[in-house]
Amino acid sequence: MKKNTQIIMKNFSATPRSSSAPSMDPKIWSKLPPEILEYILSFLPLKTFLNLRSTCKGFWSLIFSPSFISKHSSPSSSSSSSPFSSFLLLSHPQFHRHFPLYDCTLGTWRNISLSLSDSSLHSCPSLTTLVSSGGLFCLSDSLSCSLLVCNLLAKSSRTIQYPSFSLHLEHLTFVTTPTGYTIFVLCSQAASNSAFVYDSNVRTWNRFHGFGPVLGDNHHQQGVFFKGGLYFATPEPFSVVIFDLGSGKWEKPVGGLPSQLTFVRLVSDGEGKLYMVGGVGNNGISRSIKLWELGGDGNWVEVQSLPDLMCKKFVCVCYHNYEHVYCFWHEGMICICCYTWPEILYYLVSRRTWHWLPRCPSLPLKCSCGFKWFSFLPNLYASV
Amino acid sequence: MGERGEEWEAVMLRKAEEEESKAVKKVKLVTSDGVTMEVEISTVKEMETIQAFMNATDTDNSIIFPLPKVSSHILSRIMELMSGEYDQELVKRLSHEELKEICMVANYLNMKTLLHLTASAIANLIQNKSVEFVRHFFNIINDFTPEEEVQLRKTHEWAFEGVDED
Repeated sequence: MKKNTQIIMKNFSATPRSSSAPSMDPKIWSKLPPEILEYILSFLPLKTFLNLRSTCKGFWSLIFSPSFISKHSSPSSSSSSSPFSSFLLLSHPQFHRHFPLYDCTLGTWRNISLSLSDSSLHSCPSLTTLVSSGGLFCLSDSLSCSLLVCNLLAKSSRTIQYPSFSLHLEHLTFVTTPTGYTIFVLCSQAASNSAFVYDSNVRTWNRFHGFGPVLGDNHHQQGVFFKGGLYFATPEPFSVVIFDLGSGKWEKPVGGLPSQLTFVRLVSDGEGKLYMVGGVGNNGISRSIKLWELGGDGNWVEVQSLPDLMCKKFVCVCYHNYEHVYCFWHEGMICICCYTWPEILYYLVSRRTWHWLPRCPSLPLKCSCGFKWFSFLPNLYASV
Repeated sequence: MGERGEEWEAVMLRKAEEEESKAVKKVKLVTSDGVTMEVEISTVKEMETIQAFMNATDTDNSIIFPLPKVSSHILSRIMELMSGEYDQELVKRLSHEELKEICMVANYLNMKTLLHLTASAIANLIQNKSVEFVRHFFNIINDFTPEEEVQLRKTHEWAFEGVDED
């Protein structure tokens, strides 16, 4: 799909355009050699240039020219170098094919929501099970038995066939790495189940043994990527299991979990810390909600308790039913969500404070449940 | 004693000659309007295109290098910028025509610092400008259909709303 990178300059003698300012004199700046024009444009901040992308077809395809990619795709994945805001994206049945965006950099809801207007996404109405990581999203289409990985900023996507024809994929986990991405799924067929891992660098699925006991009680919770493995919390009796992405082996960590847990969710900051969010109480009723961090010795160290009032609200929101609770990491925030509630409870790690993310203003007052939230860090050069 | 003194003198003389020939070695640049400008060899070091030519033709004689695309006016401006160690303020004082010409020459002579400086100065001229402005500025033909353009402009809309242009 080679695009035309030619930039057509007008012949100025043929187009007598009135120009008031001397700086606008097209006679000066027309007919710059294309390589110089490209070099000049590469000095613009990426965001400024994206605004100018619709100048002509040549400009449109320039952002994928080698000089632009080397200039604008910084090797570090730190958000400070990204010219884009970081977003929390809300998927809700009442917003068909578009997603309200909460701008975490500005701390507001955006007026414009992100829509999947791309024709390739439009054509499959059966897309479900969205998962996200970094700038990429992974959608599952059960009709065509395929996964779709897409970069919504670059408008690029790739279709990946399911690893088996089993219609039941579980624990779809999607992890972006500096060199690409990894997809993990569990497929259960009859009595046995298998784990499949897709590596974007080699573009193939690898099959490994599945895990006997049930992994997690909640299909909104992804496996958590930490130190080369995927961490899962099992339902009662609560435990943590690790799937080593390199060897494909299942392991159990050494340390035990705190006692009197009512639910357990894991979150990784992606840089070397693994957190656990859990309720503490009796008979499935949480008296408090706590945050732990995995210590070097494999034990869980308590970091904070959720303040009482917030805890009361949270357990009310869940009706003491924690099946719908799922957690994820987003730019220094530990987000604790409930599938049935339109607000996110989050913990700001740097400030050690808890907050509720304001409800999306475009949601109707009475709306059905089905709140799925995703971390979204737009990255033009995250390749699919 | 006397003989050794003469020998010594001869050595010194040879050394001086060698040094002189090194110091004197200059490059003559001939501009499009026929002006010959003699420049120090150190000046030429940054002009990688000429440097490559000199490395290829290892000669002791001074070199004459024709620059049919460069006027004497632009060349002297470039010399000013080089001796002023590429001061941003000097760049700001250039007319747009000079800026464009210098950028083209910097590209032609492969002068990396100068190309970087002028290209970023030109980029500053279109910073935060509209698509219409940029089309007019570079005299670029819009090769999208109106429908395509509307669609494309929407593509990144969500990423920028409410954000100051930087």
